[in-house]
Amino acid sequence: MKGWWQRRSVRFRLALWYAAATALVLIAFAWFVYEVIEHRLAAEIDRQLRIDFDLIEPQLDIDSEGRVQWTLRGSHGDEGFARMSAWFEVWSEKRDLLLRHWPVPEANIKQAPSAPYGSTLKFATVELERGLFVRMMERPGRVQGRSVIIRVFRDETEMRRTLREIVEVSVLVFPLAGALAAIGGYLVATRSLAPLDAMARQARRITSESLSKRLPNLNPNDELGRLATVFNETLTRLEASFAELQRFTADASHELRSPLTALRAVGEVALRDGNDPAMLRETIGSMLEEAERLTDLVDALLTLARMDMTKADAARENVNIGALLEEIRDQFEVLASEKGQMLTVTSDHNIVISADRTLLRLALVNLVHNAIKHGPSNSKISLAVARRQGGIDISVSDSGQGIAAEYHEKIFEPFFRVDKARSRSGGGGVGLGLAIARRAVQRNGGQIIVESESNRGSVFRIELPWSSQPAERPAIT
Amino acid sequence: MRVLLIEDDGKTARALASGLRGEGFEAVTAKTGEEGFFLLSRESFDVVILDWMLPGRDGIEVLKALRADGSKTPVLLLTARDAVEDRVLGLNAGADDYLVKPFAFAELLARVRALLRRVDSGNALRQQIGDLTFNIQTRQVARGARQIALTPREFDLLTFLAQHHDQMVTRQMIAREVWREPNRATPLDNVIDVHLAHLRRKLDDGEAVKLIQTVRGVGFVLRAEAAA
Repeated sequence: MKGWWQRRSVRFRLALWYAAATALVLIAFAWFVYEVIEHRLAAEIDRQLRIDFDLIEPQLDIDSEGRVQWTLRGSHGDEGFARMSAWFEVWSEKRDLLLRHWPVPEANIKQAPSAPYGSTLKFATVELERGLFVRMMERPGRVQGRSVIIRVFRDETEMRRTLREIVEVSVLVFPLAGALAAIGGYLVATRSLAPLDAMARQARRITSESLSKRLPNLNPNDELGRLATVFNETLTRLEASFAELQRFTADASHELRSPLTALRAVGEVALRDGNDPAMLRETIGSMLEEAERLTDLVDALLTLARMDMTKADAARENVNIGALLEEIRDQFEVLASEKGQMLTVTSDHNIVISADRTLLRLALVNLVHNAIKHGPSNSKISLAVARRQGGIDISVSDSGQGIAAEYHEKIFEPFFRVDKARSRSGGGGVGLGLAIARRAVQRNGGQIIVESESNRGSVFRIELPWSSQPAERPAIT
Repeated sequence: MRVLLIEDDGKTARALASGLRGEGFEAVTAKTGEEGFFLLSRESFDVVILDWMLPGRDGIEVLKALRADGSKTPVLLLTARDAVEDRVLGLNAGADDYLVKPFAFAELLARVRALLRRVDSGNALRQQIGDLTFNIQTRQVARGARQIALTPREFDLLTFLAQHHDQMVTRQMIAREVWREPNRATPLDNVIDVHLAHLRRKLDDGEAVKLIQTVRGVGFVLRAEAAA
């Protein structure tokens, strides 16, 4: 049932709702009206019965033979009519019928009402024959000092016809009203949902080629306008992700093609005019170097891609940050001292956080490697860790040429290099180190912030929580 | 020493086979899993180099069938899949070692030799390579009469080179075996180069025979004779 309901269109459901609600209200209303009218009419009949009783009782006599007689007295309009319409019975206290006055011939009534069995005021509805309902009032009375029970009757046919007409009109009108409500609901729903259909059509036309298109937003304050706003915001993010993906693909293929081009060129040239064994060895060596670079690049790309696929929580452990920093210093000290740089660690051994050690180390190693590579000779590179509210900050500071503010975000993009010319020569790496570092830190629930000015050195600060869920995967990268 | 090479890529198979022959192995190649299994059931080999991704029965199936037959021939599994789960799967299926593509031929050679060596003795405590004497226990190194003082890291590096003397070793092998660095994306190459330069200065400076030689595009080799 639920499935069926949910498979219907919104406007169909709305129409059904309207029809059902209308029918319910109408039925309740009609029932109320019916009850009120019935009550009123019944009360009126009962009032009439009391009046009849009051009129008839004084007009009863007992004649010389002891029989009860009815004599019309006073001026009560047409005597004949009164004689016709008056309808009563007089019973003795012993339940003997003393007088019965029927407006219709007695023969027409198949089933006479039974003898009274109480001696108090009593109202009752009696069916005399099929379809002929009468209202009866039974009340003890006195005829010339003798106790009797007087019953007066009134025909209920009129009242019942009125009530039946109400029911008939209701039965006739309700389906009509329900259908009207349904049709109206359907039309109104169709009209008010029409902009939604239009939005759906327009949205469908927005493909990967036309991501810059937006839905028209007529009224940003109504529900549809808010929907359009949300949809457009989503499109904006999608467009950005898409652009980022395209840039990444273009960059990656460029980076992959360069070594391949070198491989082919060097190989072809050597094949054409290489007869000198020494020169051939040189060529092959150079080709192997390019292959090595390709391998490094693929490894870095795989590392980057795999970080998004695996669950970081699986490798969570307690990491002593001070020990980790010292381990990294021991590993890279030799590289720094080659350039006359000082590599120092400021930490105590009591800082332990829950993190993926491999990823955290990967991030730090990349930052330290970068700092050594870009830092000038005889400068100082310092690794430091500090506690803060809710977590720790690990900073890698150098006194290199610094990074201009416009690049602070861009340097974390894959393959981005501040100095384009240096991209190939000078062992510039594959250009993924910072991208890998950022992703590795994000997987640990933290973030990397760079603080730097040109010629004033740079500080890469890793902000980590003591222990937390890994960050949501960002759009791309 | 007979080596069976099961590898579907013809170019790779030819290059590896000829390289192995050049190193004195008798190399037999098979192009499919079925062919490899057929050869294994008829002939005996000292080591099997098995590609994971093969047409028809893949490497893991061949490996499982081989182990189910009770064969103890060492198997080196080649694959482009380097996730930890893949390694576990491969080793559980009965592989003795695992090499991720792309690899340097030098590394393949080192691993094949290691598999063959696994049965016989461990490494000698003392080694003599040319006029280099080398004692793992006392950590003493000398060229001729000249004692050489090395840092622990330099000594480990030299140990690794000496264990693979006359064989080429790549930076990747050094990173993994000496630095115990499993992640290939960790930038260690420069660090290795610096340590190697230090080691070379201490060992070879002023000597007529340079023991540590660079092989361009591959890595390094420790040997007493000059390059051919």
